[in-house]
Amino acid sequence: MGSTFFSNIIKLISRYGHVFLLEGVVYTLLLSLIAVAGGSVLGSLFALAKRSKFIPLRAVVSAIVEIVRGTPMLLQLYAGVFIFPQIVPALKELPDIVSVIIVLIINSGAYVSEVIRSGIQAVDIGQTEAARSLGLSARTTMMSVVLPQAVKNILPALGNEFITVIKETSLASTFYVGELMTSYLKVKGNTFLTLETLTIVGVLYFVLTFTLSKLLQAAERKMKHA
Amino acid sequence: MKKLYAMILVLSMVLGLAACGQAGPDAAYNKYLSEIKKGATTSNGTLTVALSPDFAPMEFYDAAKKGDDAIVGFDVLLANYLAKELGMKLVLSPMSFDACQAAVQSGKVDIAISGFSWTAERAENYEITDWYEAGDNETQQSIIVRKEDEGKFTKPEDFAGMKIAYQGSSLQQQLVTETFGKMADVDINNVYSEIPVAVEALKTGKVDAVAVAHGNGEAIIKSAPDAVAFSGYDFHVDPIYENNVCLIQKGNTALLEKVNTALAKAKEAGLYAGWYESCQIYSEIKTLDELGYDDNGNKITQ
Repeated sequence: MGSTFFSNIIKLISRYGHVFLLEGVVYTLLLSLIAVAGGSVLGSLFALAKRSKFIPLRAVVSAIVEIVRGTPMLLQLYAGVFIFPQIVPALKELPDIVSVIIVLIINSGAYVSEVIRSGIQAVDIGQTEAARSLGLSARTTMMSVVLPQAVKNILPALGNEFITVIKETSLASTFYVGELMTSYLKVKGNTFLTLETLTIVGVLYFVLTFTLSKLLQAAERKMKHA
Repeated sequence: MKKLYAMILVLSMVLGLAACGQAGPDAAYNKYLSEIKKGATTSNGTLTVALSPDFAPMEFYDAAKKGDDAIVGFDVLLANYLAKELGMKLVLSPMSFDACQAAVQSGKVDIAISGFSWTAERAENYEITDWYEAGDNETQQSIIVRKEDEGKFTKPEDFAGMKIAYQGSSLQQQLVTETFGKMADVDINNVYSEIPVAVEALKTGKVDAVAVAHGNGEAIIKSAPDAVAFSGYDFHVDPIYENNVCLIQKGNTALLEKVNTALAKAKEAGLYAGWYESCQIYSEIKTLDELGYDDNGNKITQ
């Protein structure tokens, strides 16, 4: 530690700044954005499927959600890149980064479906009862009464999911997809300055997640008044 | 707002500085690479190669280059050579060291070229090519220690009371276990997923020594000459471990034969020594001067 530590950090930033910023930060944000956007769509579908009256569909989706939530993300990435292509040969042609993105979306989808489920459940049952007794159909009750209220519960939790995903993308560095942790691997491999590189990457992760959580807080405040 | 502008200014200056490097240490490497690529054809499809580019000088990143070109090192030269001999287009697939083996096993890539050594377990589960020789990187297996312990060690018993670290599923793990496993006063339960992290543990005093391939050790010491040094002790290495091999999916003997033919040709032509020197220069372990190259990366022959 001491002065060499900081001079090393400056040296690393001046030499590898573009690796951290232009590659690492950009890829981390892109991956998380795609994962959360795709995950929200997939998660909504999962949540709908889980409320379906068609039992096989409900069972399959519940199984997927439970498996995804019950196994480590790193293992899911290995499965996506190595194991599934053996079962479905067409997947072999996919670049690793595409396999990684698919896994991220499915993973995020599983968590988002739970967020949506709890958001819907948090709407007081009296709302449904009142709507139904006023003669609204089940569908109209869901679309016009329950969901608009559920969204308010869901959005903040979705923001948290985004922040979680930003950190989880670091596991994708096992396949050198280019996000921040890959930048760490690249730079550390050249310089053997592990702690310095980790410090830089850590600060960048924090800047990303902190900025995002502040933006989300502002958005939440606005929503409260809406 | 002013502060923001100042920060952007500083940032752009830093990035600008990064962009204008001086005449690089990659001159000799580029010479060898373009020599290999000369007249390469790609009529026989693609050769996908898994490698873990965190292991200078065998494979590492050049942050100044883009895409596949950014992955450089001895094994990259070898991969290019094999692709040319096989008439195939080379596709590099970087991933962690553990993932490399999974990639070959699952058939996701054709071959893993990432400084692998022969071990009995690997031979059971993979087709293993004939060996290739990257300078003294593998023939000499060493132990590095903190600077104050430099050169104090000559035999295994000298490490009594010390904690020795190594990378998991590596040749060094095997060597440490064989050499120190029976000595009760040496702590060998210090497995790390990556060598640089083990080196960090050495610097901070969590462990007292790290087993490394000699060439890799040179690169580590070059990066922190005030903190770490060679211990003076080298492992006794069975000749079967002395060189590197490539891994191919079990049963793919057709590719194995072709690769072995190409490896024999490279060995016959004596290509390995020059390649390794250029990578030592590239990773700044040695200078052009020290290894007898001129400033343009040409070997000076007497």
